[in-house]
Amino acid sequence: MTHDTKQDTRIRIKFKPKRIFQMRVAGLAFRDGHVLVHRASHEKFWTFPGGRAEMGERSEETLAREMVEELGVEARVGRLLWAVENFFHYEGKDWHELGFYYLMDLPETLAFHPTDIIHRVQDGENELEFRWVAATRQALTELDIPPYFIADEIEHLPKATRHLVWHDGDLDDK
Amino acid sequence: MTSAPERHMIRLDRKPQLFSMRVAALILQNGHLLVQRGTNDNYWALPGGRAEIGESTQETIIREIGEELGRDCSVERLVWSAENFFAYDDYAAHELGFYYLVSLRQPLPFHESDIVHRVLDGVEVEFRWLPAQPSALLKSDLRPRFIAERIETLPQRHEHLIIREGRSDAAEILKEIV
Repeated sequence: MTHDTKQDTRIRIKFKPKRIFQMRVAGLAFRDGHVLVHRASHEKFWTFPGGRAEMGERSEETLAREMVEELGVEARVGRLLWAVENFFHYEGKDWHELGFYYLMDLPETLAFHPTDIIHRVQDGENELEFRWVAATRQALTELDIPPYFIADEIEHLPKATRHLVWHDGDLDDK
Repeated sequence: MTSAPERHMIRLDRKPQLFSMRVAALILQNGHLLVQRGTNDNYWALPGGRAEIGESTQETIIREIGEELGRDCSVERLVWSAENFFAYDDYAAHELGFYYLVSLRQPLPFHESDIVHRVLDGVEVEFRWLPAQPSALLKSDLRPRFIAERIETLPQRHEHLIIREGRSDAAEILKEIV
């Protein structure tokens, strides 16, 4: 992202000392028993693709917009799986993240490979890389992908939206 | 108490856009719903208040009920979370709301029309009971309006809602319902 006016409408609030609130919307896309994940290439852990919510934008719109920006595809946003109040420590700060995780369909045109990076995109200062990982508890646990409760539920997705308060702990201590 | 972290509301003012996070309580008694308003306001809202960083929404509602009603409560369940978009003064407001079904450990006085409780919270806030029926809640202009529309069929499991509410069409909705 460049330093344009859009930056100002991101739902992210910094408080002294070293505390941040943000709202994030992400999607789980499945193919051949795999789920799509991404990370900034300098990070050790992965996350589900998505991005920071913007003021005035519905969470479904946020997710669809992010998929266009990051993958260049039109996502079909499905049901909301989890609404999570997540508290964690990251980059020396205490985070309070409100996360909305949707089921989503991505078009078949998006490449599939069971192990390789299938897509890279420059996102501001970060290079994002995307891959598919087996949608099993074991594979997600080995991969390291917060919020960590999702690994436990990936094989039995909630039928109705599940709200939870979660503590991911210290993500710097990796 | 110097070690307690400072309290900070989750609110982002980027005129003309406003984002805030609010946690509210559905408190029912004798088929009535507890509502509140600032004495200068001409609409009602559910008891509750601004979410604060570092606090879970359950913690927020317990704290707010303690501050506003002077009572302990037990949080039964989350009924709705809602992304609510509406006009507010000169703002396009975006409010993230969490709505809990709450029961008070020590009940409030009950009366069908009188103010049953007052508290000074910056401004003076007054509380009353309204019949938990769509027509009564709409007539008294309870906001957000979706609460009135859904009050008789509270979901057993949490529902996430995305709501766009105009300010002027409450009268039209009322016409449809009554």
